Amino acid sequence: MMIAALPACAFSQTFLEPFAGYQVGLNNQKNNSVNSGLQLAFKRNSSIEFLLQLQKSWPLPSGSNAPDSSFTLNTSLPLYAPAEKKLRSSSLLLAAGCRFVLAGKQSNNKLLATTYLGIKYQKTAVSYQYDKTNYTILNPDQTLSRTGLFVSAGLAYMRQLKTSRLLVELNVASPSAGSNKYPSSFKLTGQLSCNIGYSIQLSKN
Amino acid sequence: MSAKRKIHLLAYLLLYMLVIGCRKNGTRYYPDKETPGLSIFSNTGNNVLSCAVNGQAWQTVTRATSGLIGRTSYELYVTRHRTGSLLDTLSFSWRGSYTSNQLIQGDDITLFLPIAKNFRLSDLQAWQGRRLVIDSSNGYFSANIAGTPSVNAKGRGVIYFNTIRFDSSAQQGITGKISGTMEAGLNAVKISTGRFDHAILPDQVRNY
Repeated sequence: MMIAALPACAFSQTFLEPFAGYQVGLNNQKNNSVNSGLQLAFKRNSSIEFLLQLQKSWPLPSGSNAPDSSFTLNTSLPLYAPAEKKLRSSSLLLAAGCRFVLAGKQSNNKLLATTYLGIKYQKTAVSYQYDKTNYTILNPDQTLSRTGLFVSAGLAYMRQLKTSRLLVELNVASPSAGSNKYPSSFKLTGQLSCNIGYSIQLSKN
Repeated sequence: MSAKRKIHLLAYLLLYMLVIGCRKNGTRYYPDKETPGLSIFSNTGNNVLSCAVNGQAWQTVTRATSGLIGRTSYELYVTRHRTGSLLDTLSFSWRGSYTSNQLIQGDDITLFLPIAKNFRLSDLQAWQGRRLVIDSSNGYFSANIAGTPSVNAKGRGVIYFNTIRFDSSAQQGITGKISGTMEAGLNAVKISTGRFDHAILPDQVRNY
């Protein structure tokens, strides 16, 4: 419906691009995730394409583990006991962007620059494993989530096939704008992602 | 309304803004998801103690720092009580109320500790990282909680000081940091899952 609403003359070709990949947080907490998404690419001319992207990232089952401290007043137990903290990051974003050809304009192998601006919901879920009956965590972390604007930029390699295209993209995204008041030991951070996608031609003027 | 009356009203309004508008909240309360009704156990200077008193959430008053006019109200006072005997007494007194009824803030929970005459607050650092059993031979807890018959009762308990340090080198007076957890029993009053975290300012240290 959205494609139909666009002026027929504005874009020479329209592509649907499912993609999947892996992303790492730009901090030292290894809160990595896998992501998948769907993108519409509207080709304006041989140099530029406009993009509309919906992407969801999923936490790895193992999450990111970190040691923490717990204490008890029960004098029959040791004062201190280690606790294990697990962080699991995920996100959902909707973004608009564009893609420029940097090299290989007339070739089947192109190098492109991409940039996006959109809204991102970002969440890092925190869970603890410790003796909750007897012990208390010092300075516990809590689940952080935030929705806000974000920007991203990256480089993509595109292989032109007969009517479709193969894409490999490396992208750096900012965290969603805003702040959290809770004094966590971590922050919602930007991500470095690597995605592989397939571009299916939907229409051609 | 006459011009004179309008000027009076404006003056009262300005005075009210000076007294109320300039007050600053010095307490940061972060709820503990594992223990509903209580703040988290922290050591970052949040200026709050919370605990369960007979199972009901209780917390200290908000530290309200005054602006141009008015006094600062503190949640904790550290006081030296000089006596004629061999030992003096040091008290940590937390002022507060049940969380469900913060309009009545006349409660207090106090820890009394006997100290030598030559005791300095910086000596308390020896307790940092230690869990002390308070059993009336080395101090006691007292509590003055609305609706409970605990006045003058000497309670036993356990207190853990995650942080306790005082510094008298500051120009304005003695400052300090204390944080930890505690529990106590005083006849009909049971204080449990207590956690405290304070950055202590010179006005909170009395008789030193």
